[in-house]
Amino acid sequence: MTPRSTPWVAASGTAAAFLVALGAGILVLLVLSPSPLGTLSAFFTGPFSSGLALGNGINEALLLTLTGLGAALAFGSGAFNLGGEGQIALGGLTVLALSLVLPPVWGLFGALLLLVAATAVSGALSGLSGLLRSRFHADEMITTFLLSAAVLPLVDALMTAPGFSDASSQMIQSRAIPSAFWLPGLLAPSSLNIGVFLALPLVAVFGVLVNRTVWGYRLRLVGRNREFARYAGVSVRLYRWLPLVLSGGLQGLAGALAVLGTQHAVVQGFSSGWGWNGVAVALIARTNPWFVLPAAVLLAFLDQASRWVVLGGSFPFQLSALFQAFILFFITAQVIPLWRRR
Amino acid sequence: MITLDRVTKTWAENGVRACDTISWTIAGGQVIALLGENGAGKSTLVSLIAGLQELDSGTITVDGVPLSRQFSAKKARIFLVPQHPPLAPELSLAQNALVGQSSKGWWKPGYRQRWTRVFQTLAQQWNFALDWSKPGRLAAAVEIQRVALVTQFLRQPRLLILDEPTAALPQPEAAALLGHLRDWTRSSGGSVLLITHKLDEALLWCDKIAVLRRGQLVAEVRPSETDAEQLGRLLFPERDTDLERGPTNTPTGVVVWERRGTASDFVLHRGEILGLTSLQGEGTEALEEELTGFQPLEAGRHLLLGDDVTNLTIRELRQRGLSYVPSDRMGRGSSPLSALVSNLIPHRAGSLSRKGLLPRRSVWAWFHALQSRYNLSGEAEQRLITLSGGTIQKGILAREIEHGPRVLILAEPAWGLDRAARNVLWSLVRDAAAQGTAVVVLTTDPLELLENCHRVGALRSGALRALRPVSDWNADQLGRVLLGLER
Repeated sequence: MTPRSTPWVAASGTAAAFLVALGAGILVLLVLSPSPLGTLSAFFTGPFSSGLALGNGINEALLLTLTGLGAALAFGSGAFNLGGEGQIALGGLTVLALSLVLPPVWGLFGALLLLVAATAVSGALSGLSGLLRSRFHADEMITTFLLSAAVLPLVDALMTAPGFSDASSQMIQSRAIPSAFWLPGLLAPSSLNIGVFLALPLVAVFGVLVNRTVWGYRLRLVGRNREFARYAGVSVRLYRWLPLVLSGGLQGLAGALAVLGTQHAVVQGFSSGWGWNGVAVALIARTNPWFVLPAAVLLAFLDQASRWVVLGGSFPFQLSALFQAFILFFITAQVIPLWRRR
Repeated sequence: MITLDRVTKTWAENGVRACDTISWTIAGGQVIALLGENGAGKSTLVSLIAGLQELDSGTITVDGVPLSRQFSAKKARIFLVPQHPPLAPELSLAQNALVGQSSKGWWKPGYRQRWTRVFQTLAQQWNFALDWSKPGRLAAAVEIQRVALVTQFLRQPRLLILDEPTAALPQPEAAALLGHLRDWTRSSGGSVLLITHKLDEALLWCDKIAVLRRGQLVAEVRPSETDAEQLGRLLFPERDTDLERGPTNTPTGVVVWERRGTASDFVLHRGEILGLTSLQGEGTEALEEELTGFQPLEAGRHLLLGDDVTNLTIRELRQRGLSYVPSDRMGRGSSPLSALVSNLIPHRAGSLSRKGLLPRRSVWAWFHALQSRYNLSGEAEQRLITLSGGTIQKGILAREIEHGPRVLILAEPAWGLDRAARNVLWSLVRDAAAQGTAVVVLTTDPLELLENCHRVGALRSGALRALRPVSDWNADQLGRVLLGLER
């Protein structure tokens, strides 16, 4: 059989790698667990055992879809956005700051405005890396990461600054945002909210944009071989910075959704993991937006399942991190040789 | 003494047997020239000797010990200075040169400064003007090559292999370098293997001259036993003529492209196939970059149908009807890891789209039409890299001519292709010319031009030395002009 570049064929390879990783994880789980059967059952049924569990899982899948889409968009254009964490936090902070200014009577319209603002601000942060790349040849892989690393402590400091801080809380977090802007919850008391209805349309928009438009074709061309794209007359510059802006914007949107829909405040370290796991989602999806949704759902499921196992008491450590390590290992082991051949 | 015994290497990518049972002995204390036409297998042979590629069969022994994983070419102190040496862009030239040097005393303060002084001293001795603190990314090609020369020389080689070291060096500098290297072989017992296209250099500075042709070692002579004439005949034998070849149309008088005010001016007519050739590094490479807008023109102008198009970008040139098949097919001319259809469609993506969307159905229809029109094999979603070299080049050419461009620039179009693929390629170019496209062919393979062009010109040191109708040339003459034996 001749090797194809059909996305579906590539996806089957990724699915196989995923199953191997899952098998390896379960093997470790069985070997280390005192009661293997109970653990296994908790692992597979736990995430679906209640509305709370299911809602939390779906909400996590939503956030991972957004951060994964963002990472995939940048990767697809040959740029690397490793600043997801900082961009998420900045999105949250933007929501907090503006929510204290907007009149509460604006309600859901105000919430929409806040989402857009967070997207724009985080997009600008990521776009700055694109600018640094085109002006000073600074590697965006490094600048996105460093800018994010600089933004994180800044957000932490600002959330407890006068005006933003919440003196009554024991946790390090800001004061709550006005409840008028809270996104209505679903499946209470889980963290799920109406923000979830953004996931499918966004995946569809970016799936079509990347896979079915001239714009997306050129983006992929720049990502695969920049010199060829330039030779073919594509404006390479545009396709270097614009995907970074969109990528950062999606991370900011995820941060804003977490704050407006779930936490209703900016909590220290609230972005932890989503940015990096978004990178994992993008790798699993092989930077194709269509596959971001299943990849995000799978990672969210694994995370929730691991939590259930750990909650059940039969596990002393963070199983979820182990699973992710397995998955990243097997999938990158498959992907990297392809990238090296360029 | 380094001995090659029936060394053979076939490239899996295109099936070309680049080295064919080569047996050869390289004695110590000598400067040896390795000559050969483009594609004769020189670079492959030296990369095998330097241990950068694995042999298919045969052995290489150094003083009786065969090279192997345990006894590598590096351990045998065989070092190669490639034509385009790799270099870390963010490190200074001195730091780059430090890579590979002895790390003895690296922890002592002043280690770096001491080595930098060593570099500076040697560079001065060789008359190399180099700023060692300059970052690699700002270094010009000639500087990079100088740094690599200094680096490899200081590693105390048993055999130092230089791939066209003098192509980019000005004449006096090149002569001084070769003089130094010859003195060094006398005093150290080390050897230098010099790949070159310059016959006078080989005759003047080398102890022996070896000639490669189509992967085989066809001659090894002493300079005193031969002359440039004989070497020229060894390098460029007459090729058997093929009567089917040659352009079928007569170009009209309409001037499509003009290059003015440069050392290599020419005018190009509608329907004309103009061939320009040079030895490697003598002009065709630079011309490719300039004609296609990848390198700005330092002096002079380009006119397309009378409009000034000097220093427009490739994007703007394409909009005005220029098409281009680059010599770097996999790096610039295609995206090897993308699907075949993605590689063929870039110039059509805009016109096939509706409101930005690329409808699958029209893309497929277009693809299949192109496929049957040019008899292209392969499936739309197949990765380009899985196709053969000939098929890829045919696809690239089809992509560049299917919309009937005004001007077509072809750089090394037939390189590495077998005879059948070449025939197909040239018949497509002939058809395009017959339809009115003006074609410029740039290649280091002169015979290819004599068989397929209306007019042929020879470049030397970047200047156009002779431009005549193809009927006024023969292979011998063209070879002599290229080698500088005749004006």
